[in-house]
Amino acid sequence: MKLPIEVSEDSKEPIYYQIELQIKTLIVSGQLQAGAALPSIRALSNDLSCSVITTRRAYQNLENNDFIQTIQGKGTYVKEVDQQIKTSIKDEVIYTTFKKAYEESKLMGYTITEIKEICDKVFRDQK
Amino acid sequence: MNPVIKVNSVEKEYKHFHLGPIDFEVEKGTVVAVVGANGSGKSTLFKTLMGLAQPDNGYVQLFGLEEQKQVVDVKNRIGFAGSGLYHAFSQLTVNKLAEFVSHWYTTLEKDYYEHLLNRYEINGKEKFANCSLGTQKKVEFVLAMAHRPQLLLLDEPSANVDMLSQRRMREDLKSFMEQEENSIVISTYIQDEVKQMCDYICILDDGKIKGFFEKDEIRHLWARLWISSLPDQLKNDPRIWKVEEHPLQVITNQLPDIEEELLKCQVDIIRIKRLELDDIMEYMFIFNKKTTNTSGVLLKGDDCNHKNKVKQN
Repeated sequence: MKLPIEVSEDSKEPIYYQIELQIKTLIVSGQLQAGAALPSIRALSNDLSCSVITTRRAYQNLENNDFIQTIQGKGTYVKEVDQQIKTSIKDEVIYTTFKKAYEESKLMGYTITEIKEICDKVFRDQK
Repeated sequence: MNPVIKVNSVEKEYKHFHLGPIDFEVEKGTVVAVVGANGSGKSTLFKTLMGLAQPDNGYVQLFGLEEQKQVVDVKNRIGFAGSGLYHAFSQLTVNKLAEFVSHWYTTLEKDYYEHLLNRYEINGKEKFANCSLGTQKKVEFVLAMAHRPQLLLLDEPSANVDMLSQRRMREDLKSFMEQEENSIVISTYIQDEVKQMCDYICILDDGKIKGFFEKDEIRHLWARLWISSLPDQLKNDPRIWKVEEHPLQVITNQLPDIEEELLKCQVDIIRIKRLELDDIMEYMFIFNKKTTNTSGVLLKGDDCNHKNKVKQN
């Protein structure tokens, strides 16, 4: 199986963290349900062209935080995640997304007021 | 770490070439790419790993077993391709060669062997000597795989091999690595193979290991930064490998540190772009060869600095 995740070489975040966050996102958004099987560490490494050291680290962190569990000899599966954690992860994802946009705007020399104006425009346009 | 290969101070002297001293370990369940120019010692290293060449000094330990002990058992667990292993037997047909090889690869699986011959479109009745270079490579690969080893030692397995077969090899190596206990050491010139399959990269130059690092770690640390200005204190910094003008940009092998320092100096970082693996390796090689200053390019440091730049194993 292939997961709909991709890593960016140019991101500030290390690759293992990008994988971790994207899998978390898939879980909390319900795209990966409890009990769903995840690809093996090697298969994911191949898909993303990263080392098993990286994917293993991502899986280990997810496992330590109770998002997934590995059953020896069987595979890795998504665990049941409670609502409160789901909400806080969603917050984290949205926060990171906005932060990225903010950093980009700052690089281009925008002031906070200008950024807020653009933000408001985005919200208006979505209505 | 649970090393499947341990190379300890191995040295091998030839008339015009000296290998080593070489030290490294291969962690079980990982793929190590050995990269280096022609004549850098890759094939000699593989022969030493396989026990085809005895080192003058040092030792190679496989599967944690002592040398000489259970030699047949160890050989059974290894699949080796390369270094013209079968040239002395090139008058045999491919099938005869397989039969012959099964004397030491006692676990050779006939069905799996047949399957691989089909998959790589090899005619088993063809004399090995009459096979094209690429087909000989494929035969070597098939014979390395057919007894289902746990460790593959592959010296340029895909050289001269057609694109479709290269792709199949990559698929086969991928499924081989699905077994978590399995490991591969592979030498290759094909960047895609390194980028896609490997966990560690071992850079060999002039018979010595110039670097042994985890692929993603190195990709995380090396970057090109476009900046508004370069503070004086960083102008001769060994972590800055190259400075280019119009627009001003630097290449570093210590991105997080340099980034922090630039921000401290109130320098605007306009953009950060990570380097491709082949670019990184080229910088390392250029550095080794001490080739400097082409087209106004500025290279910094010396051999001593270099030792700190590349993580030594």
